[in-house]
Amino acid sequence: MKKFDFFKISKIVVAVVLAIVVVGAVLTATLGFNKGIELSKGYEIKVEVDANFGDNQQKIEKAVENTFDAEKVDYKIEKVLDEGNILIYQFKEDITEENTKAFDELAVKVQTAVNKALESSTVEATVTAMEREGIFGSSSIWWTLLAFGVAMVLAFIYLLIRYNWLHSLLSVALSIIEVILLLSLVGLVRIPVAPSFIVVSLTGVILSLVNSVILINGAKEKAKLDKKAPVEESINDLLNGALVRNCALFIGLVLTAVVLLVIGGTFTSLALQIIGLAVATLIVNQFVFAPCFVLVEKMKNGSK
Amino acid sequence: MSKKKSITLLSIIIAVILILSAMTFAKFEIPGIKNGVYNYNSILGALELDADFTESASYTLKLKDGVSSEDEEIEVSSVLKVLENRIIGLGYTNYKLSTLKSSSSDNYDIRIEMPNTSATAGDIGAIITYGVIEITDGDGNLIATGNEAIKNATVQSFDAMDQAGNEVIAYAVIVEFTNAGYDAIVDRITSGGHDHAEGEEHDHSGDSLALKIKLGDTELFSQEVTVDALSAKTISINNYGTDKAAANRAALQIKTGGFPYEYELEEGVVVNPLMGNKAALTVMITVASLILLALVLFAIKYRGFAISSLISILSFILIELIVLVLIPGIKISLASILGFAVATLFVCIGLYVLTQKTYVEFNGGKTFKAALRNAYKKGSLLFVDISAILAILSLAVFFIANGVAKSFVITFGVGVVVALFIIVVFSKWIVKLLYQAISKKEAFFNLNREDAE
Repeated sequence: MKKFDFFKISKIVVAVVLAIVVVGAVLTATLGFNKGIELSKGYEIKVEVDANFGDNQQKIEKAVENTFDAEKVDYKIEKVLDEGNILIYQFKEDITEENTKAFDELAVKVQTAVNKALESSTVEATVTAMEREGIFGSSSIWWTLLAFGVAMVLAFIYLLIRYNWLHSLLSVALSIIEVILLLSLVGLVRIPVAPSFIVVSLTGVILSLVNSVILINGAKEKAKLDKKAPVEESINDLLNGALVRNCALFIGLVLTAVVLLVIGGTFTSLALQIIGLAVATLIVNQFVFAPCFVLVEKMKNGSK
Repeated sequence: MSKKKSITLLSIIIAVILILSAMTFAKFEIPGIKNGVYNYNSILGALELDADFTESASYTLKLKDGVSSEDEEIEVSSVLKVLENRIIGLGYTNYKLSTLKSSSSDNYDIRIEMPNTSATAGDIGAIITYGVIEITDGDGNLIATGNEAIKNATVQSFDAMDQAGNEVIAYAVIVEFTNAGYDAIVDRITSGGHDHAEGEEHDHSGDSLALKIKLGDTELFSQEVTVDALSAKTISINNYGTDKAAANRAALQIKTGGFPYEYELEEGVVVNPLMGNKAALTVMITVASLILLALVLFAIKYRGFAISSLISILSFILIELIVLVLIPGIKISLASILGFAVATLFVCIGLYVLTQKTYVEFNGGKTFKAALRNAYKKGSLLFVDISAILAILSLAVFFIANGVAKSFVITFGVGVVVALFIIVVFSKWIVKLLYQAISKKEAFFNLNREDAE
């Protein structure tokens, strides 16, 4: 099978990665992350009836959604509460006086439409603005970052015992690069950020650590067998060996995301984050690793 | 091992996997049992689902009538921070907080969504009980406040007997006083109602006092205590019986005091599963389909190794599920399923890498058995290293982080341990058994030195 030369395109890939990181960072710094409904401000319309929806639930949902369609507004989440007595629709919008007025008017229209659909029931539609300041486990993010930092230090120490400090540093650095690239992609493509992003980032760290340790171990074995082989050549061989694995991983992640996109609803933002993860993992594992490893080897040889 | 023995062993393993797989999903009535458990509700049924996949409860907190956030200078972000700490303190990992403000009011309402258990309503009530912890004597005279007198409060379990004489686990709250708190209580005990002549030495060890710990109007502790009983600067509150949730609530209130803001709790309502009724099943079917697809692709190149991998992956999934059922208190959320999926992915990567290594060794001129032995020898150390790093990562996140990250690493961390066994021990054993059992070995394992890498 013809071997692919990863070093030929590694400079271009590294340049692209840097461009993504810079543009992503600039966009995130200026616009902030595109927060999902779970993390952002917005409005919610609560439709409450005095009897269980029962068979009428579809009728009411249709009446509500027809009103939303007519007014050209998209809700992000629908929640069914109290065995169907309460329906909540959440919208991602800036909280302004103008929007508050518009949503108050929308609630009146919803109430009228549902009243019409359910002739005998008492219906109440109310609007509230949802503030998200300091909520949804904001402290969780800081604790997770601290945990991530501690885990990276401990992983470095373990790898230091088992390998050498440059290889340990490389493994840890690649995991950090993976997270930075993932954050940049999310910022660049404006993927909605939901709490599940913490989990997706952790997965990126895990996949990057697994890949870099496998490749470093492989390089060590190759170096033992043929001490004179140029490092570029043996790394290129290893990356060709890892290509099928990393492509399968990429396809698997993308297919998972596609299925989640088909399910839709609250899974949509997770699906988009997984696509970001698939791209970041493939780039870091397959293309960023090569020049970084060669750099490390040169540093290692230079220090001898 | 002989061919016959290998076939027998493989048949037993496959039968066990099939039985366990059926037990994972099947629900049936156990015939012949009239008392006790007579319904078998599948291994999956034994897993406790979190709010993502099962109905949750929604509670709304409103500022008490007459209290205005502007007048009282109440910052909603501070309220949320305190609320969040108290929710975490009661062991909740999957919860959602939202602040809501209607155009007709200046005050924010707070919505809490959390798993709907029998303890949830009581927990929320305990979390938002307003007031200050006060330590008083029997007449209600203040000795000290909780802030200055209480250092810690923890829940301890102990063996006890119920009314029917059965052994049960009961719970107590151990309250630890600060030096200042201890001195204040002992002072009150020793000075209470005893007249002694000036300079007269008196043994106070037997002196007693009716001691109370109160939060607002709620009495958390009321008992006669002596100086002797307080010598360890602790008291034990034993009136919770087997109600662990009640003991946890009391410990939280005694340790952290009352909620510093006056909110009222509206009656809770049930929320349908946040991810939809069938989301858990859909996610699992997706992961299973992808594993099968990967194995089919794997089979194209490595043929028989796909069968050993399938057996290994199924065994991994079943063992991890059983381990998760056996560990008490694990609740399955979307993050937990993702942790499980990533651990399964790790198994797939491990099996692929070891298969690849076996072929590399085989291409180097070794016999299949020697190639397998060498590949696993080298690979085992590699996967011990990787598993150790992943276990370190999981432990760090488990002990430091909370919320979704914690849910993720619980299933992932358990998975890493199970995966290590499956990758380095079990899969090798299965490949060996298959090698012994199959007649056309070259064709079955695609042992063609030209084709292989």
